[in-house]
Amino acid sequence: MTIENTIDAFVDGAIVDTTALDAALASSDGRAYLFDVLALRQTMQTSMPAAAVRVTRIRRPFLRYASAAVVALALVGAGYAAGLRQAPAAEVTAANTSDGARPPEPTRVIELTPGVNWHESRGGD
Amino acid sequence: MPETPHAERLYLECQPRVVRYLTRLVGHADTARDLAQETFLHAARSPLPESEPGQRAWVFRIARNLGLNHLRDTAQHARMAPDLDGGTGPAQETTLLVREALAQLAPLDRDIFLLREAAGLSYAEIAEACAVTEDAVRSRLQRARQALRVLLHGTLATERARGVRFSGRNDE
Repeated sequence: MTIENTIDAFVDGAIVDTTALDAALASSDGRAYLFDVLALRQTMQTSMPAAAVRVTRIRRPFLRYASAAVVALALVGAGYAAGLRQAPAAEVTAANTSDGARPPEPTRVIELTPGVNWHESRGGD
Repeated sequence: MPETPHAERLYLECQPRVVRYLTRLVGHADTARDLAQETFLHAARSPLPESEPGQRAWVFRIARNLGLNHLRDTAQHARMAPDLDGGTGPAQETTLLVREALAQLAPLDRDIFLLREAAGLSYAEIAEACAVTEDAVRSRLQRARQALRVLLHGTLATERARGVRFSGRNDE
């Protein structure tokens, strides 16, 4: 196994023979290779073409409109479904009132007799 | 898109890495996202391997095939053309240098390097994704790194001067 193999295995999370790693890191070539591999990894992580993300948004406004349309359709669908769920409840209430349901019996009855305990009066009196 | 809990978990776990890998491979983030969607559609339609590493390798195998097909189909049109939105900053210059350096590698060396550095796959997963042995992965990965050391000498010197951070894992 070469110095580079050992360093590669070390930085890639593979199992490494410690004696081989010790020897690899003891040489200046091994250390230089390690630093380059780490620098390369760092460069790969920091140089991702992120600008393309913005380009995408400019080039494809259709996707945004499509997304908005999907959201709008979902909201309309949800409203329709909610309406369907509530409609049967309203019918049941109406059926109960027209199906012989009676108000409760009065607990007290007051009888009014004209001239006795009922007097007509004009407004303002 | 994912049709089973298995596929959903795989999607959540691998999607960012698939996009990173494909972005590096095809050089365009928007194309990479489209290809990533296609990758998971393919994966959801096919029976997945039992083991998790096998599933990851399977997903990246699909992604790699789709990416290579895309590169082949668009070979006549500005292959590896800059997608830098007209910018000229140091980061974009580095991006361009990296892309040019990657383009000079042998295709399989480049794929193996990207599966390791952009996707964070293990040697075993890369071997399965590329249908090669683990020994082949080791030797090709080392060859790619040695070539990139030479091709990106100035860039790496600048990066080293800034300081490097040790990271045994490259899949976050």
